[in-house]
Amino acid sequence: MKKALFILVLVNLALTLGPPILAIPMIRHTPAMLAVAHAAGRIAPFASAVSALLAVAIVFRWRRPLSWVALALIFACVAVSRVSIFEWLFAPAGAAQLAAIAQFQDIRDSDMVIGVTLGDESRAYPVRYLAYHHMLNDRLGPIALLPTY
Amino acid sequence: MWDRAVDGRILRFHLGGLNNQNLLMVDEETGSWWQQVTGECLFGPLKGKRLRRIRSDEVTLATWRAERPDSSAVKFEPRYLTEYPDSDWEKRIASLPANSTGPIPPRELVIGVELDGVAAAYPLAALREKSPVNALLGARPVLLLVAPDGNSVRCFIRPTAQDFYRRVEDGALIDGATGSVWNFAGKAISGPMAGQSLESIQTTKDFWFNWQNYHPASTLRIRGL
Repeated sequence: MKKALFILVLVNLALTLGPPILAIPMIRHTPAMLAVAHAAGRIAPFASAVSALLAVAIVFRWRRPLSWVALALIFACVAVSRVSIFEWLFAPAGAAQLAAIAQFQDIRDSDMVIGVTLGDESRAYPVRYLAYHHMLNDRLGPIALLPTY
Repeated sequence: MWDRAVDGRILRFHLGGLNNQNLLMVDEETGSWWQQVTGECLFGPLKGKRLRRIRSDEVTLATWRAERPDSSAVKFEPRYLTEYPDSDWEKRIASLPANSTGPIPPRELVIGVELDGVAAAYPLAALREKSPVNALLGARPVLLLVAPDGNSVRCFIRPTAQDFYRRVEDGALIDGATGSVWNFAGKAISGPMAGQSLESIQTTKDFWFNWQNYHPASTLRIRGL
């Protein structure tokens, strides 16, 4: 019982914390590391849900202070594996709010924009906006656009 | 700037992580991971697919407004006003560690261009000093221009290698063959070529280490600009 619970906790922590740890900026990333991170991120939501059910069944029969801690950790993995840690750091952009360029005063004249023209429509994305959100799921005319920075 | 349509399906992208300091993007529909700088899908069901690049310009607001008075602009979101970095944000991250080879620091800003599989990077500081720069990318003659604002950069295809562009004393850009005057948008505004436009190609402002990481065969052009 005790051993099974311990293994469940370890597996879930590895699956949930592995991907963000592998994708921190200051290390040299290899394709194999990223492949592992991607695979772990894909199975973590499912694996943690199954683990939570198993853990509840175990704790039902083996109630110790430590088993409640294990249960709490696994439930934390259920939650964390379903959100993006990077989107905590850099909130995703909401739907684009537009201004006419003549009236646009959110940035200085000397600040940079990413400009795009498709047919007879043009749009400017402030670099300072993209440097925080990093991307915007947008649309210009018939084209679904993804400005990134 | 990418087209979100892949094989007729429109994807929605999120921030997924980092790969050697370049963003990984994850799509909602399949959970695949994409590299921001190349548009290539690295992992997941869409592995091997590539996003289609949409031509974009990185210029100052003043330049864009003057050239495209009918343009729209995307506004800051009020709830994140304190999160948006200041105008000088690039200088602030200049001290973060990074690795590259070559005679310039990893985080020096370069302008990267690519044409017919030939990639080259120009230090922005050098371009500011030498613009207009008449160059060859492989066999293709090109022209790199920095606007008077010092930050807006464009690259154009020169019709022939014999077409040289230079600045004359009053700041006008003229071509040696006809003496026509050209503007930063690549359009002849007076002279025999008036009304003609040069074809532009994508320029990417990037840190040298990042450009080199994803364009390992790229040359770095410093001398003889």
